[in-house]
Amino acid sequence: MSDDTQFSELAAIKESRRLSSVWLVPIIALGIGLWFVYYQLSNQGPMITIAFENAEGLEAGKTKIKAREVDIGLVKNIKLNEDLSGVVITAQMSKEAEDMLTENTEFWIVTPRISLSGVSGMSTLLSGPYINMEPSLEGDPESDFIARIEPPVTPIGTPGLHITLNSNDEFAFEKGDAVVYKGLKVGEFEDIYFNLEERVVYYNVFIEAPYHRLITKNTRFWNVSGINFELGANGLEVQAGSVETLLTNGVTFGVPEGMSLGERITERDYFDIYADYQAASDQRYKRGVKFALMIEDTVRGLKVGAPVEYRGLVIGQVVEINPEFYSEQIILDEGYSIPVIIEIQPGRVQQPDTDEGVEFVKQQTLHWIDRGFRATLETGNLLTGALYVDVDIYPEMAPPETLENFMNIPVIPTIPEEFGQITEKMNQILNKVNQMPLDDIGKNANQMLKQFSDTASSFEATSNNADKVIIAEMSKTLAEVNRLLADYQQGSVTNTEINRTMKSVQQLLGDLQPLIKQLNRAPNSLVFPPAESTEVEPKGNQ
Amino acid sequence: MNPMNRTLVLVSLLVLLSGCASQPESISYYLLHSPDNAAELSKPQAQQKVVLRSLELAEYLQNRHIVMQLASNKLQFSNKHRWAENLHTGVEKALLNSLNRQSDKALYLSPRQLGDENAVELFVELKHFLITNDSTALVSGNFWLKGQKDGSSIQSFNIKRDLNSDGYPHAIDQLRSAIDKLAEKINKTL
Repeated sequence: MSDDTQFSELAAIKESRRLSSVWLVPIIALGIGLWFVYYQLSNQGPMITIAFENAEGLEAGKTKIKAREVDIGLVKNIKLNEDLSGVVITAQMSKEAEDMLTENTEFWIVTPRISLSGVSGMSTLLSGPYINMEPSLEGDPESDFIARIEPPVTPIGTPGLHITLNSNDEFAFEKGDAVVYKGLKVGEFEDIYFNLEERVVYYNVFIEAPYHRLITKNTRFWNVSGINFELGANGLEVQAGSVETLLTNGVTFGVPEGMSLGERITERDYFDIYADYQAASDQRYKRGVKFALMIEDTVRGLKVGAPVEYRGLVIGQVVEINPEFYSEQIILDEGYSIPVIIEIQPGRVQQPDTDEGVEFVKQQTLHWIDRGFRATLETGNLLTGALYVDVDIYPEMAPPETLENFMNIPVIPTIPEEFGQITEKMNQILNKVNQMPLDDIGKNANQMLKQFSDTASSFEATSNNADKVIIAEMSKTLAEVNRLLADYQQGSVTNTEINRTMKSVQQLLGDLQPLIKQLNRAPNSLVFPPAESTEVEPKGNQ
Repeated sequence: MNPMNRTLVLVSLLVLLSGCASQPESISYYLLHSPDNAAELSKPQAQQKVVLRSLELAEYLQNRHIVMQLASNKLQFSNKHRWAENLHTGVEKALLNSLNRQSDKALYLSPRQLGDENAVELFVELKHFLITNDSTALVSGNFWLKGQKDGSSIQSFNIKRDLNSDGYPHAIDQLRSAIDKLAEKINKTL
């Protein structure tokens, strides 16, 4: 082999312009990865934030968000808000929940709750708390929410009517308290807020369908919490609502008797809560004519709201007793008359509840004052001593010289109250008793007693003699009765005779029995010979 | 009407009336206990006194008709053959008579004959006391004694006597014989 061996051909190296098919593997992997990312992003729901007062029981990555017990989201992050007054959680919602997240959507934490209105959230004892969402499809889309502190009493979307009740009185209603109608629970108190400026408590109440159709412009609400005992001029009144309101609180409603039903309420409206039905019913009489009574006796037992009656019919009420701003006289002045302001309501005396009605009642009352129209305090209930104002016409009364006014209110003259009249009459009787010649009467009485004593002694002597005679006669009679009874005792001659006679009668009846039976069977057998006897005779064994 | 016709009418009426005359039904009366063999009530050697405290007859026996059973559920109350006295009295007398005749050890008395002294009490219930259509005199029921030292339970009896000849007199004799048999059973129990 020589050194100069030459290679006849050299390898031609050229750069390849084609990519190797090996690259297909990472490209496909990248494509799949990108598709996963796209799929994940396209199916992911929105991220929302919810503000809570605190994050008690919530855990990032664990706490779920549910709507109607269906998982629709997961808490991703929990952090304090900027002013440290609460916490903000960030939650990843599912794609399906996107449309439900509107400005009306509400969130709250579900934990075990025990209240008078029921027990809820017991399942979270084992599973841990979760965030419940009350979805709403109405309103603009929203991604930042403020959670409710407590779950809503009535789920959103429940058919019915939301109304607002208010009260100046010392009622204390709580969330969940019942609204009852004729003993049925028809609604609940949802929430309460106190208006500091008005100093009035407002209660938002929900009336369930179909009972919400009972709410009209003339509907009145009144308190039926527990059992109400009222000792008034009409005696003891006991009022109670349903069993639930006996234990908790509650209101009921209705249209007072005599009022029209009125127009139905379809949107939120405001109503007052009255202390009882009577107070609610009285509110229909909006106008009244005020009159003053100047009472010289005691007003103990008279209350604001006490009825004013005319011959037993209620025509008004007491509106004020001893007005605070009355300063013409002071209580300790001699002959101080206690002013009592009453109101006669035109609506109660068959007059329109208008200015014309008011004017008519005023003029008519002033006219009657000249004819003997007088007021008096009467005892409505002897047990409680509750008083009411009774007005009536006393024709024998002389008309007042001048018509008095008290703080520009006309005064109806008064006559002493019932007990006052009795006391006066008792005084008159006692005066007459004092004038009686008691000494002479006493002497006569003594004499009469002596005579009576003598008569009694004579009577006693007579009766002693009578006793002896009567006892002797009775002994004699009893002896004769004994002798008579002995004649009838068992074994006596009379008894034996009676027994013998009874037996004879029995025997006779026994003898007559076949004849009676025969006549019964064949009435003509006395005249015509009876048919051949069909009686079977005993046969011997042959 | 001439006298001849009048006589003819009267004779005709008498003849017609005589046709209505009827022979009254004759009734036979029977006595259950026999006056011929009355027992002696003075028994010096009697060790025990037994009082027939109660004798109860079935409802259908509380009359004076002699009852005959024609079928298992059919009875005949005879109108022509009757007990001379109340059946209760008759059975009481017949039973006490039989008991006293058969026993020297015990003296059987009715409650009326017993004084204040203690005695064994006898209770008898008669369910059937009749003649049957298959030639038998039947007496059945229960009896029990109270006041015995060894106590006593209720005993049932169902005594039948065949009829050997026709007619009620023989049947009554067989019923009386059945009462004797009952007395024998009671004496054995005592």
